[in-house]
Amino acid sequence: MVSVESPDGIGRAWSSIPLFSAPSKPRSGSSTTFLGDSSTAIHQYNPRMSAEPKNRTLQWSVSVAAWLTAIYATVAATTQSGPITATPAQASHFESKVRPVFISKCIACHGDKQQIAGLRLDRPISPAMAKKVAAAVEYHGATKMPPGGKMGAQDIAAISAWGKAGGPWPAKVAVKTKERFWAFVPPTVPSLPKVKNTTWAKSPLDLFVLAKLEEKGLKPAPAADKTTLIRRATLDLTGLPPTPSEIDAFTADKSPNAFEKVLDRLLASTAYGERWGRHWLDVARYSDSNGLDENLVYVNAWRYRDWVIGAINQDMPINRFMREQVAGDLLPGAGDSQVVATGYLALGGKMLAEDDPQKQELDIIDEQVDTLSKGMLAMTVGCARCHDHKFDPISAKDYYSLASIFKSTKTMDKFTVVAEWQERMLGPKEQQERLKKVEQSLKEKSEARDKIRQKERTELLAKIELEKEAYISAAKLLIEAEKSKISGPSVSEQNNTQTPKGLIKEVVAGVAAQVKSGAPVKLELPENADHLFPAQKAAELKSLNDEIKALSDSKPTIPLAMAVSDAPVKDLQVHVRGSYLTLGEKATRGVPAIMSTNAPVVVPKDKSGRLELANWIASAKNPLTARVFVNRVWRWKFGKGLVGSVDNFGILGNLPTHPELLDWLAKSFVTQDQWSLKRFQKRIMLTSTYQMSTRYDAKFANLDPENRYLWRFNRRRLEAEAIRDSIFFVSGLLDRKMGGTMMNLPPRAYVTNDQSANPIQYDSPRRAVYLPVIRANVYDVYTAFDFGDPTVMNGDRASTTVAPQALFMLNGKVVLTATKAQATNLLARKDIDDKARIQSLFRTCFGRSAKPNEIVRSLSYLSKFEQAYAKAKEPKLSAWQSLCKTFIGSNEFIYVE
Amino acid sequence: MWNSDQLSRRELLRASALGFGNLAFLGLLANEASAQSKNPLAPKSPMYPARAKRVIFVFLHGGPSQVDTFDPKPLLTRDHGKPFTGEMPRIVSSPTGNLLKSPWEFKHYGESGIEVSDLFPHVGSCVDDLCFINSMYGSNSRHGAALLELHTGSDTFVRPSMGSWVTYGLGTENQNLPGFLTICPTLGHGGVNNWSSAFLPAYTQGTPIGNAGIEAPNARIPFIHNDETPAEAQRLEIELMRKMGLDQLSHLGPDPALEGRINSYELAFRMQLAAPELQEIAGESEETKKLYGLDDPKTRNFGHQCLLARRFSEKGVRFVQVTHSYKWDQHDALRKEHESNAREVDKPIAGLIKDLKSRGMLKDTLVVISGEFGRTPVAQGTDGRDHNPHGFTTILAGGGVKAGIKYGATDDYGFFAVKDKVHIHDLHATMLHLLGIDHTKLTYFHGGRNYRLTDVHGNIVKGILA
Repeated sequence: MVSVESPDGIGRAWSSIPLFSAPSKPRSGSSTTFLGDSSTAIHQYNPRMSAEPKNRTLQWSVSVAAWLTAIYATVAATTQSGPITATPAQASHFESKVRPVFISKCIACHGDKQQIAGLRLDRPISPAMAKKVAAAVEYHGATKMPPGGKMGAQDIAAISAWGKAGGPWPAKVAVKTKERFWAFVPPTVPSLPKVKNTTWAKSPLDLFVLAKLEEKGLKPAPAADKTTLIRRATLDLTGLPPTPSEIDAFTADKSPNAFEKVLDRLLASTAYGERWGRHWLDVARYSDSNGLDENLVYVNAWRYRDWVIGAINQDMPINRFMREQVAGDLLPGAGDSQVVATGYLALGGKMLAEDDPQKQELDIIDEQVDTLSKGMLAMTVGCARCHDHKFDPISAKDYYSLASIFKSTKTMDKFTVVAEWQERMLGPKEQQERLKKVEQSLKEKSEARDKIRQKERTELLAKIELEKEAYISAAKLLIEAEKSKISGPSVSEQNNTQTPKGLIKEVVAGVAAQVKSGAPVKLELPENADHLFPAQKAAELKSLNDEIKALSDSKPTIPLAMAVSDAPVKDLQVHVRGSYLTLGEKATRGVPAIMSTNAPVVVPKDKSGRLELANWIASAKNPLTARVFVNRVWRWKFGKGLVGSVDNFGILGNLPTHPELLDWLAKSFVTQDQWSLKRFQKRIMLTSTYQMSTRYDAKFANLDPENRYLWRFNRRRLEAEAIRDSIFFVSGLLDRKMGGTMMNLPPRAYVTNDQSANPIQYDSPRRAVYLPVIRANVYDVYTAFDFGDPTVMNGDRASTTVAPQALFMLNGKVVLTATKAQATNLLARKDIDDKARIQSLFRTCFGRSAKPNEIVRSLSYLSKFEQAYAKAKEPKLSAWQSLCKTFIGSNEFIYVE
Repeated sequence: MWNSDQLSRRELLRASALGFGNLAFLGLLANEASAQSKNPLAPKSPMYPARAKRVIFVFLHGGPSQVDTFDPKPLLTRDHGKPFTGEMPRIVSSPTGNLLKSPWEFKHYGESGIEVSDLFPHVGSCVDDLCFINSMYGSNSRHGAALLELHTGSDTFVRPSMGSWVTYGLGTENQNLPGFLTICPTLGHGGVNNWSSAFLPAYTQGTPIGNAGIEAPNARIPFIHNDETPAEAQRLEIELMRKMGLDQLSHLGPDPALEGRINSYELAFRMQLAAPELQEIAGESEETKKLYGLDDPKTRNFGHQCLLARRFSEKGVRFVQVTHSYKWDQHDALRKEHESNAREVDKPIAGLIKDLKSRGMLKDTLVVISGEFGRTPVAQGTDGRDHNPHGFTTILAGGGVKAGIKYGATDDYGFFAVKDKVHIHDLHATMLHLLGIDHTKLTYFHGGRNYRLTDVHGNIVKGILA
């Protein structure tokens, strides 16, 4: 098979292809041959695909050579004089195989600094020139490049193919093509659309949805009934199912604002922050351990988690919420809470045992840039670490401008192996000052003590060195004395009656040991020799020691938080191909140009720029922040964002299905709700759109199988935490205690090693949000139910249906414990009969009453089970537990209508 | 089907399979929103004819020393005790001293005459079936990063593991079992990330059986069993849940996610019967057990892992990893510890190769044996070696690989790969190639771009292809 990989075959392979217009013949002797349909290969990087849901396709395709043939075939014959614009497939090949070679091997002489022979390879060139470049790297003509020796065969092949095709150059993805980047255009208040159905809409939101439905020939599903609605709303806002009495109260309330009252109650409950705080924790890649290489516990991470839950419960305006996480510590009047908030930047996974500290620091910065830009701006800025972004208008310089802000920010204390992250002191300033003072004087006293000690030791050693012979004689005597005893204390334990006056017994003992082992004699003082020094010095040392001990004992215990602070200002240079060994132009602290035309950011000379970054993100003028956030909320409420790719609003992300609605939501969230998430929640939930049923319609399902235009409400499976919490809730075991840590580990202890995981206890029936999140060893229930990898941020959790979930429902400890309690409680109720017990199960687990046939079926199950288990210890309890298991394991329990 | 007679596992398995027909969906849906009804784990055709159908990856954690095992260096012996005169790596883990010769002798084995040290006599007896890549190199000198690089291709970020990529690309052949199993994996140095699917669909995630702290015979798949509920009772529970689920579906209308979930109980039930049965090795002949060293306490644990790997592979699991846990990190006590480690794995590895061969499986099973890096030819202390990602040995065997050859070479002292260098990316590219997958085309779109196991790197190592 022809392949660019074979070093010797390369020249022949390429020259055998007649100007990339026909597939080559396979070479004999190779193992396999496959020249498939070349048309399938070139769609890989086509940006136009981004408007459609796509993403999950395998690229079954052709050999590299045939692929190159295909991508370059179309332009090979052109004779135009200006540069040729690359197709997406060519651009992709150019960026991965050609441009990197130019940068590493050609740009020094043919770039912005020098243009030898008038050639610049950092900008488009004519087809004629491209062909010359190809000939030069092939060493064919008079000009041979690079002059120092031929490039590798692979690089030659790539440049040759590109050059012979006329040097197609990727279109400049520039600010001027801004129209294509809808997300950078500030949202405007759209005019309300006209609709045919004039009765359905309750809010402008509904008008946008309805207009789209009517445009597509769809109709909204009828409204959900009240029991469905309260279950939906309760699980949505609190992650717990409604109780039977809450359902009864709502169904009995005939007032027009009955649902609004329910929403007010739910939004005021602390469970709301636990649920919606957890959503944000996904975006913040929250974890209680480092993961990656050295899995050390983040023993203070929980303070950030509790800060998030608290902020959501207090309805902190979302712009403030963002601002505090990026630069809380730099805000006027900042206190502990604001310091804790910056844990957002500190919680990333880090390669702590990296032998290259520069790489380590840049990787940590990269993680921060990546998490922040995806989480708050839905931009994959991280792509520009190695080269200008291929698709979005973000240059490597933009990346390093942002990275410079974090270079000027302190996240780590030490970059040595194993590296240490910074933890900042909390609590009253006086306490912190006191601790600092105590530590300072501890340091001074210890140094003073060590200095005296060292001096005295040196003097004493010099003194006894003069008596070396005496020591050796004494040692020999000692050995003789020991030998003469049949049993007795060892040499080193001899009492000083054996030691001639004036000699130090420990030294004699040491010499004796050396003599015995045949080692050369070297006089050594015991480790603690204070008592051998002159009395005055010994006393001085003792008093210093006492002071040191007293100081240590008086150290105040100060709570710590993982947090960042400002560091000396330092601008980075662009790292060519992402390596600090090849530096390019200088980047100054700032934000990507295209995102800030509306709100320019100026970083003062002596500032890190973090505060300016935070203010820019939190600004109403930022075209992205509000849009990205309301889209996330929509995703969490409806199961799918208006922009499906919630973490990527770039050109490779999805286009919004309802662009006007997205703008309207973003604008009204800022102006009407004043960034209040609670107000926003309520506005959405009071619409007809939110209150639709999930009713199936064959015709509409055919027109819009993925329900992109919202002709019904999406049925959704609960997330891992909500499943676990609901199981404990319906069994009566859920512990509602809030906050704090459940880990009892020393700071920076390893939570996993090669052999085992530290015994993190997951048995607690507390709400799942408080369970430790251990990277690289995530709780198995979380793993089964798509919790995802907490090392990377993720605003769009998967929802799979895999067998381990079923195994958990059949065998999981949580399920067995909870159902046992549930069955025991039911049987303990002597006031009701079995039918009523079954009825209670239906109401508690499914939020509805049982139908008669369902009661019959349950009863017959119980009796069948009890008969089979007649000889078991507790047949009745086993039967009821088993019945409870079927309720918890059923679809109706973990799906929300 | 409920009666007082105890049904055997096998009968239950059959009853369940017959009763529900072809409902073998491990992960019916990658996403609930997706209307896709195809089973993503169904076996897929490779891109071009594959030489190997499955992979067994034998991972020796800690960094076995190449110059003491499969890469003899006469000059290292000659210059023992002298300083290393070449250029040291730019980044080193620990200070090192002078050249340290191997304490072990090398012998020629087989028709190929390949030299193997006295640490591995049993592997030595298999050399004519093995391909030694002596010129492996990686990018990182720390365990955590190097493990991640070997398993996922990235020493910097969390990326899908190679087992996940393979499962994603090829599905699996036994719908009663996961497509990617890792037996007694290490929880350190990246832990789960070494078998995670990262952003690939969840069904490609490696399923761990126990971990390195658990003896292989006691290792289990999570939630595979509970002591309280007999299988017959579970049968009843699944029946009832199915009825409730179908009832609900009948008035909700079609929903592939709900249907998939009902079916997933059937699969789970079958899996909890099939997996323990496969882990039950009593039925293996004494001869086979001996072949893997199960009769020797020193080799029993790892031998059990290797035997399980063969059993799972035989039943169609696409990618099986076994791990000899973090034992090979001899910064000191090289003589004692490398000796002891080799004793534990030598016979089981040879047993695996021989067993696969005698069953006719070696021809389409790719066996990969490797550490995350090698060790320095220069001494750390007097009896130790430091980490060395710049040159080490990986052994391949089976499907589509030339047998009885050495490929590539390190320098005269075994420090740096110098001839026909093979980066870990190249190993990955070659493994995928042997499985019939073009590594540049197996892509997944995530977070704004297409990802590959080999990122933007990787060249197929043509010289080892049979």
